[in-house]
Amino acid sequence: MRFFILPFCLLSVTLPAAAANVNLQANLVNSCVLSINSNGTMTANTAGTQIGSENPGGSAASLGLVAIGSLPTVTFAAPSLSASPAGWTASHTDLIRYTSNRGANQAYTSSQSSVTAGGLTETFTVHGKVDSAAGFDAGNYTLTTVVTCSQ
Amino acid sequence: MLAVKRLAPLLGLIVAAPAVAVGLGPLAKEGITDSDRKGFYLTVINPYATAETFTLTPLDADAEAPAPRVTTIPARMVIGGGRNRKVLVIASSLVRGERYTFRVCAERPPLPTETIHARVCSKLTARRVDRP
Repeated sequence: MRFFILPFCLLSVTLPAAAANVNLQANLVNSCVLSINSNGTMTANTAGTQIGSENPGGSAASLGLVAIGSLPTVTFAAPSLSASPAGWTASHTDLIRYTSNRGANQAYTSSQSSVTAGGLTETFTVHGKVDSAAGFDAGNYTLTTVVTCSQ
Repeated sequence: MLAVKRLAPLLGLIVAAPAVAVGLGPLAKEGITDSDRKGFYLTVINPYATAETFTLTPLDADAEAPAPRVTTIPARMVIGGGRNRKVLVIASSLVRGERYTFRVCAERPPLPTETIHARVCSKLTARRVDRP
């Protein structure tokens, strides 16, 4: 019996290890991640009839999109003032415009607009403004739009 | 002069809110059932480095109206930073032969100072076979 075991032990030690595949797998789900990199800021124009992100001292909002699978649709809802001074009731028009590093280019609009993503990763720059011929009261104003990623 | 008085506070207006982010998948899914209910699994993604609260809202396929026949379990959840969570979506009261399409949107509860509110919606279709 020992004669049989000994050669087997030597054999197992001296043989080179067999080649084997090492696999790293991924199972990705068709998905979308939206990230607001920065909220914009608005300032008043010299005439006092507009607050906007393109006036001196203002800045655009930045929105990042990361999609997996297929190109989603990005929808910008009609913008609206979600905050304004309590006593301010002047008639006003709320507008946004946006561009992206993948070619999206929407002019100022007060309506809902949509764009098909130009790539699986995309960065949008969003500008906003509020026009009011009657001017603006002192206080905080927040122009808001809902951005939806869907298919 | 009046205009200047009105403008002065506005010039200092700065909205400084934390960034918003949310992820959801799959963005579309379709399933068949022979009962009056159909379930789907979705994955909510928290892209933040820290734990955040997210909500799921069932809506009509092409409108912002709520979809009362749809339940999400859970409807509100806290997800750890950089983690995902599977959620169950149940469409109910399906009649024979019905094809019911709706949306489920994931979002983080908005802050009052946010200028852009982000959400991701999945379009789901449940079809009940037409047999007794």
